[in-house]
Amino acid sequence: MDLREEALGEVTVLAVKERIDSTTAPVLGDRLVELVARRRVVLDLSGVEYVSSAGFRIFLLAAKQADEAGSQLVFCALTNKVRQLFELGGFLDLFRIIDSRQDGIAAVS
Amino acid sequence: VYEVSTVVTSITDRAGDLSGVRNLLAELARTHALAPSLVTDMQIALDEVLSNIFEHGFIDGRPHQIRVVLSLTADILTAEVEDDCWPFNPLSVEPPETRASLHARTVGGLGIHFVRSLTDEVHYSRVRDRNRLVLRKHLNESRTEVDDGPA
Repeated sequence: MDLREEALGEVTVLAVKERIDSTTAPVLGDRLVELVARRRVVLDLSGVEYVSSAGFRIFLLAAKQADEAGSQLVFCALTNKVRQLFELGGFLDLFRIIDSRQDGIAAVS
Repeated sequence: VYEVSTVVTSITDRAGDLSGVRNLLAELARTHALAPSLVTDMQIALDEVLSNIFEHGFIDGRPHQIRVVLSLTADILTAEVEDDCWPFNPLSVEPPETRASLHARTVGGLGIHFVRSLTDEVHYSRVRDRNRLVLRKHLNESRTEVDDGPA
């Protein structure tokens, strides 16, 4: 997994690459939970191959944290495979999902 | 893909992580030009199954062994996962609650839900003091076939 952060005013775009699985999810989780506590976050998943249940566990944790902190977390640029997994898990209606990175940034700005 | 190919690996501790199994599957997929989506589905299923064993089977702190056998025939990609942990049938786990609100939502049961949804067959048996889980993907009727490109 590869993480890349870009700060744009009060928004941080966190771009993830490769796999979010049981090995990599804890690393992403730590960073994401830290970020959503004080920033609006756009999670760019365009480079993600797949997300396992361990990944959805940290997504859920971060979304709850963002909600409690009065912050915002949006997921953008899902590949077809990743979108299928969001659907299987019943997360399409639960999380804020935006088509593109640019629209994701606009949505939280 | 008409020949039969089988690879076997063993994992003995958590630190061994899952990259060994993932690499074996990737190699098998490359050699036999398997559809990427099919391989991804099996990769996710294996991640779920193996991390589940680490989480629930290794909690007694004793050394354990997990044996993974990947095999390919003309029609089917099979992964057999055997562990020597206490008896546990992951297929008995309740399906996840996928409609609860954000704060009531958990991911309990999600891993096994993914395993069931992403494979064409999954079977559990307890054989000679070992848990045995068999996962199969049918090569010609991959119902989860999608492109890997952006949605």
